Amino acid sequence: MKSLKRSNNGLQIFFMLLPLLVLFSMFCLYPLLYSVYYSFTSYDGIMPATFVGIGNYVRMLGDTTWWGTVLNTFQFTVMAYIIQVPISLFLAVLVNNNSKISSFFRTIFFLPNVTSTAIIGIIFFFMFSSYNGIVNGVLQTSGAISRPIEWLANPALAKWIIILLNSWSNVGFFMTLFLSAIQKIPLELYESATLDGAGRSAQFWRITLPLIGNMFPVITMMVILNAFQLFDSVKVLTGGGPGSSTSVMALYIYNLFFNSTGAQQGYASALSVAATAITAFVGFLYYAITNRQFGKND
Amino acid sequence: MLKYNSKCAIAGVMAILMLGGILAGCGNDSSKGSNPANSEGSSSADGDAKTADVVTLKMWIRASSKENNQTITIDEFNESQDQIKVEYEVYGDNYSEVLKLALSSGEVPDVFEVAGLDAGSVRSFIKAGYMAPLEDYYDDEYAGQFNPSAFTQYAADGHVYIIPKEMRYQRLYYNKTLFERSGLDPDTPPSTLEEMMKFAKIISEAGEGEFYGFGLPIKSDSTWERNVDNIAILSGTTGPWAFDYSTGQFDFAKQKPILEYFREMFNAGVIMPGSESLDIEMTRANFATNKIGMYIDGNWMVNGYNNELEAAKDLNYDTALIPVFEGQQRAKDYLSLDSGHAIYANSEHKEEAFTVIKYVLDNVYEAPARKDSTSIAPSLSLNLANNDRINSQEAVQNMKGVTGLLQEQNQLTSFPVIPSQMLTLEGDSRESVYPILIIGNSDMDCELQKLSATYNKALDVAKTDGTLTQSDLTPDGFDYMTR
Repeated sequence: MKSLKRSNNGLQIFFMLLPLLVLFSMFCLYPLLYSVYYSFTSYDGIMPATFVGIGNYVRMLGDTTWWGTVLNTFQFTVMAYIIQVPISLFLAVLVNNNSKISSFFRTIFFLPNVTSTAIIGIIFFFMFSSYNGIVNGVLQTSGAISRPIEWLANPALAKWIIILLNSWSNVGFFMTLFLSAIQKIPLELYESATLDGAGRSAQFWRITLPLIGNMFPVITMMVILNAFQLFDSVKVLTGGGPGSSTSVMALYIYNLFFNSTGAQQGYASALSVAATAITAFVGFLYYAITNRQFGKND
Repeated sequence: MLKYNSKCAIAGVMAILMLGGILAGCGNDSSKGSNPANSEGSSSADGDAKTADVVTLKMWIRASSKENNQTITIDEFNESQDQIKVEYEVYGDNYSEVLKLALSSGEVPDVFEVAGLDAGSVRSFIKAGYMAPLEDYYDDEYAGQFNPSAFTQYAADGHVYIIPKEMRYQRLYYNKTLFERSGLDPDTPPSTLEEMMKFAKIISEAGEGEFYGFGLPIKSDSTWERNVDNIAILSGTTGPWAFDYSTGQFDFAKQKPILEYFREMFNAGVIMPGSESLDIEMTRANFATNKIGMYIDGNWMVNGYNNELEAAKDLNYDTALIPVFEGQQRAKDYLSLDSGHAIYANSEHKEEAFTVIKYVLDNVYEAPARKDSTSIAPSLSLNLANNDRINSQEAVQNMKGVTGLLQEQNQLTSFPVIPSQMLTLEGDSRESVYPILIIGNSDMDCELQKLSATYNKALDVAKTDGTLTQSDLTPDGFDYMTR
């Protein structure tokens, strides 16, 4: 009787999940498997695909521009981590009280996150525009520079602007996550610490930071995955240029799919598979490391 | 409380219902779409006897606005007769992707515009049998009215699949207001590249940071075709994308003097700052608002500035031939044929479809003026008889920007095959290398050599797999001066 009930329960769960599974299979699994299939073909999106074995993967190994975009993606990821995590934590601590001014600033910091990246990209584009850009305007008016700086023509500067844009856009969201973790910490601990003479700095290092520890791997994983999926801000701001010096994996694949001549869809599929593998590898690596560090607290 | 069995049954029924809904939503309504005969049947089933004889054609148009020259023309066509009714849909920037998807799924209208697609894709469409040959529907007399290039660009195996509706070529646009403000004669555009450099420097100096001599939209891939290729073709050096039809090989090193010219312009500060992040639209906006003295753009922008761009209503400009280096004999001009209409191979109304195409070809260029008598536009048709009739009108002759447009039209010739558009490149394209060569200090010889190697390797593959033939690459008796 008990096993019949369990089997009915399983059937019920299966039926409940069935619509979602069908949708998932149709719109995620099927295209994903098809991409893997196309990665072994030469395909132009019009004529039937022809099987080329591992030819696309061999081509990938020698494609220096692709590896340049992988390197750029890693650079953006590392910089996102270095900049976004500390700043969002700092902002979370800063606005962690019930005053009206804190609520105001919470909203202000979060606002860029609900603004379209394309719009932010356009705003940054105009801000850093060489001609009539507000940044050059301020620098020239203050006498810091005599000639306008070509911000987006210099690969190093262009990368910093992309990092700045993404950080400005994302820290508000990560701040909110940190804030929710901070607000779970019992207030009594801070009261006791205050009575024992601990200052704000000591409270942060001895109470806040250790007790939000479990939120760190979650946020860091999100920062990493966000950075690996970087596309829209680069597309809008620099288009991957000059040349392909600021291009990232997703943009390079997009351009092969939609902006190139000949049979590039098969190769683009192979790069998509590789990009997924790279992202998954980094994610698992990070998970393995942090699980050892933070998993002990569970 | 419901028992487990009942819950399970309800869950099952609900799941099946939801699945049914999902699959129905994804399903294909076979009464609509690619088979015009069905839609015709449905209209006659309404009992309207008059519509039973009307052939309804579906048509797709690529345009940036819902009302455009083509829609005006087709509306007029629908009103002019009662045998054929055209139902059109207008698509924007993503049109080429929409068309590719539609063709691969068989959901294609009777007539579709082929625009914004590289020649390789069009050739694949033809090879896949998506398009019907057109030569059965026109005679030699009609063909004789056209520039001969009209029947070469989209021909394969002795058949013509598209008659392009538009001749596209580039001209130097120059801002007469900025010429005057810089002390230059507004009626004397530069006739050589050296003079263009001199004028650009004079304008930039006079501008003192407010306006600049030249606009080079490096962010747009088409910049290199507009600027570098055009000068190379007019100089008889190479064809588009540095392909040399006399040797049948890519030779980017031959474009080096032109690249050095633009690098010198960039380093001299006469190109508008921020050009690396400027696309062609932004360049046009800056030209229209008197920030750029000169730039190279397509012939269609005369209509754009005169009739479409609100910001350009006070713009005082003209066009001129693109200059070449001093002492260089001018070769034939570069004509590119971008868009035209094809008939879907499975259409049941091919003859009627061609009637529509012919009407558009013959009438599209006077459409703005018919709609609004103040919207005069030059004809860009490949139908030379139409061009002569429209462009000889006094109103067209006197319109802003038309000087260079109407010069040396007999020198315009297309390249039947542009090999770069047929290749599967394995390496950097020139669109990603040229910007670095202009704004950076990389070794130009080395980079151009690498580019040639990349393109020639892909060319060898295209020759081996039959995508390109030797006659495509080295046409008999080819000469840049007389082609």
